[in-house]
Amino acid sequence: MPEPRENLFEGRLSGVAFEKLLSALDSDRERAGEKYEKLHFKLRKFFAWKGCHSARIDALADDTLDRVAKNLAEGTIIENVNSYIRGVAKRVWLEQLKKPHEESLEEDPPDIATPETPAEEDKRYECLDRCLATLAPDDCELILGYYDAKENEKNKDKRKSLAERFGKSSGALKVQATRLRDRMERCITICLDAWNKV
Amino acid sequence: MTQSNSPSKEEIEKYLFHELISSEREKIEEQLFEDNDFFYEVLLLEDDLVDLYVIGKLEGDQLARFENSLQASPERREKVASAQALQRRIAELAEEKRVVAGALEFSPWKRLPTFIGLRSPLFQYAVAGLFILLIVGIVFLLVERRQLNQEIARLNENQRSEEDRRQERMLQERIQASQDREEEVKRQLETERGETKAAREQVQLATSEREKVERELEELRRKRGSPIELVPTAIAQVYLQPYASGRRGSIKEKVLGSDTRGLAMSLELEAGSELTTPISVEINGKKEPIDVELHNLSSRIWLASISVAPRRLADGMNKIILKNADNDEIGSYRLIIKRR
Repeated sequence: MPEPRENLFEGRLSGVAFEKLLSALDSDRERAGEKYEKLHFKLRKFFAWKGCHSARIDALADDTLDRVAKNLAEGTIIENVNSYIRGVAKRVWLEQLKKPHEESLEEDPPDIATPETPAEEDKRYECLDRCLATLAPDDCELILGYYDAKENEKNKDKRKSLAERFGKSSGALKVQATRLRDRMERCITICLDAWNKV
Repeated sequence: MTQSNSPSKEEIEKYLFHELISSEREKIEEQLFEDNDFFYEVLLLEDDLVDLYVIGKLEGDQLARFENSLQASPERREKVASAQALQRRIAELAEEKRVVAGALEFSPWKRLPTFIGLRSPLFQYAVAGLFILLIVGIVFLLVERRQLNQEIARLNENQRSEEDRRQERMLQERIQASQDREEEVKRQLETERGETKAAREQVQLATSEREKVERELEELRRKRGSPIELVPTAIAQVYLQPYASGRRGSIKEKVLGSDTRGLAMSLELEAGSELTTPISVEINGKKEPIDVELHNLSSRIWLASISVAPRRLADGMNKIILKNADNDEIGSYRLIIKRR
């Protein structure tokens, strides 16, 4: 179950507002929590595919959900939650484009000709190792097996056999693998950020 | 949006490569929020493109489009770097597995069936025979090893018993010494009634010492759980008073066993002797290089402790003399030695 966040934008997100958002997502509190997490993940990818920097996408997803919660608490009637959230997310994205300091594609074109230095690669590798170590053994095995790109190229049925071994459907395994990968990537970003601050 | 008008893979790629016009992007984004399966389909396609790029499998137009998309997607550049790290990790794991598999492949057990299979039937029989002999040899060695282990265990047990016996011998010697002292002091009590108090204390001291040692011996036996056979004393003990013609008990007799390694003597010195050190020992008229330890038993009585090897003592009567640093005699003793 996610914790209500506070002080993320214009004033404080009250517990009541957060409860309103959860209720709008599902009448069952546990399922509502899961839906909240999925929405947060989806919003992060939405902002990433819009070209936002990885260091900003978490904050933008938070901002979006907080605004929705606040509007619900203020009495806004929402007929289609998904559609409403997408609208708020788009507004958040447009607003951040206007902010001069934002690291957006338009304002700060990246230089892809600058690859990571060997030292940076090693740091990332070290972070990957640490992040893999935080996963449960089965999850670790799944992610290493599912994303073995060379092996998957050779054996098209590898993911299918992996699904059978974990007792899951191919679709369920796909969802689990992508979520695990996202979790690992976020973990690496946090790890590198912490490392660079030292 | 329904499944029938779901965007094609090509359209999704265009979305990921930032090649769609605004209205087309809106359409895709709308479905991303409405359809979880579609959302994961896009996610997986992006992951696959990233992985193919990392292993160098993206080519031509698709590679160029992907690289262009990296300019518009900082998060994807991070993703590529992390995927490179992940593939490096996977490759290292595969290498580790390959090395382990290689080691197993070169294992003699793994190669043996192939080795036999490549030879003629006669050679196969010979190898099979050798194999059987090898098995028999291994079984024999295992049995031998088991017997050796049993033998070692038995020897260890004997060693422990020997240790127990040695400890018991020492305690018996102490009892014997205490008994000797007790006996001598008792006798002294009889002959020197003027010194009864000090002598009585000595009796009590010797008695309590003996009782203490007897208790220790009892405790040792109790702990061991079963009585053990008493063995001859390796170090014999004797308490001697200065010899005086006609004085009862001033000549003692000691039986030494064949295994007696030494004779510990407690020699009571002549009262009033000048105890200037070093003190020398003469046995049967010959000066022996023997260390002497002095003990003050009471205000009047001093003891000299010496340890004598049996070979220095003659069978029958022996004359032992102690002399001080001034070469004055401070004690003369008589001891009859008998050997078993």
